[in-house]
Amino acid sequence: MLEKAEVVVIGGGVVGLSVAYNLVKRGVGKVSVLERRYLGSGASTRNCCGIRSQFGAEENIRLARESKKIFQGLTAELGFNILHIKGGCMMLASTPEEAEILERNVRLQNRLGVNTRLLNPGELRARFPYLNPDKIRAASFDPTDSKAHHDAVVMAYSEACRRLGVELNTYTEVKGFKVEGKAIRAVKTSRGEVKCSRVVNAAGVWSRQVARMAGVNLPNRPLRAEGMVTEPFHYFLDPTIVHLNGPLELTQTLRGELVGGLADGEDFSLNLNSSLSFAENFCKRAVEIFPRLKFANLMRQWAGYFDVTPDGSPVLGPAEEVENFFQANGFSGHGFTLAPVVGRLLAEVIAKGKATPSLEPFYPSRFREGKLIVENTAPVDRLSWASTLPEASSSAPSR
Amino acid sequence: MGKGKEIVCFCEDVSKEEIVKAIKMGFKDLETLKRFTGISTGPCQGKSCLFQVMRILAQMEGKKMEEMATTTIRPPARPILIGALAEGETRAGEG
Repeated sequence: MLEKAEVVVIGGGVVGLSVAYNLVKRGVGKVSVLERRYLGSGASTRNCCGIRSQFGAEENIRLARESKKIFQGLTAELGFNILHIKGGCMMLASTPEEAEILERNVRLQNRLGVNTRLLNPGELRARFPYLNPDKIRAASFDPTDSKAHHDAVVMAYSEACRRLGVELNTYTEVKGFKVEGKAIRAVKTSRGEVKCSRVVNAAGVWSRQVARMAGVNLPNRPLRAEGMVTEPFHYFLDPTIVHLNGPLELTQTLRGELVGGLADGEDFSLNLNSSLSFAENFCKRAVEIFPRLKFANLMRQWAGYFDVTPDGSPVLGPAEEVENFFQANGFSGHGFTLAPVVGRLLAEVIAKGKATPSLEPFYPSRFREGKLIVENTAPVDRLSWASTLPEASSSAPSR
Repeated sequence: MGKGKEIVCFCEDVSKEEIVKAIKMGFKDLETLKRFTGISTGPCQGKSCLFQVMRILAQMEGKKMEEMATTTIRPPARPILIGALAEGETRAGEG
């Protein structure tokens, strides 16, 4: 392991690897990634592979729009096939409240140049005959949304990092920091100490714990979710389907398997055991909107988590308390979509020492200032603790 | 099938040669080796291939099989119809 690095990136998931890759590409010097297990072992490879810009907050739409562009050329840029396909994303609503969210979001997306459309019942039936129209009140569709294989994306970034000389330390846990004044001077790990000039916290659901070791408070919390995959089929399902209630997600990867997941419930533990109740709940709800799914075999299930923030938007940029400590966490279920653009923008901020306008609203200081970026498609919206602003600001820095 | 070709994972059609190549590329962790090659992710969920791959990895890394750990074993043990799960039929034998 290196004794000294220019930047230490904590977290070897898709976000940390994207930041590390973009940093070395910009030539900032030695970059070291610290990962407590294997690369991509957290939420990066426990998601449903969807990439979309159908969000409810302007700032998130702008970021995602850029990320989608990067995904399009990522296989060529990284020299590794990420199994990317522009199949579109369809968001579904069953209740009047959910339908209203979709309508509002589509108007906002259109104003920002994203060509999302609300589908009328006739169109829905003609274009997506496998969906049950009786259970769908409204559907929005953006044909430029896409999907990629999550494992392949992690490997594409990690192989590119390896090629460019990033030090990838797996099974290396962060134990603490050496902080002097308002700066981290070194990171203490289970395998020794690394001196550094800057640190990136891309530790996913462990981000809050990691930040606390440096005396930084983050309002993030882990929210448990579960996923499943069926036996492989001939490829037939282009769009990623996201039902707002949950959200429940379902799509098919280019390997043929149907991948689905559900974040429903209010379990904030890091318990990674799969449950029969998830399998039953997911299957019941998925069959309601997608009846022919009942003929497929569920092959494997797993558990995962979202690193959720009070407003459902990520925490990006330098911490207020420790100035050389950059946050790239709190993605609230959208880390896979946003990883490419966040890596690029954060590397720019770190290299230039100057913020870019698209990143500034996401700074950790927004919780103290009450400038929340409320994302109505994030699972966090349905949780009572998140809707109370005073609680959110009380856990933010007091300074 | 070419002469001398050894298949390790029948579900995903992965040969021994492909496993060796992946390990040489640097996928020396069983979890990442599984994701790179696709072994253990088909209908058998690793029952026929996982130990074969562990043996190849152990040999190449100069380890004993006792030192190797499996990947996380995930339910269900056998594929189950989604329709059966949706109807709650998998609990029929309970109580």
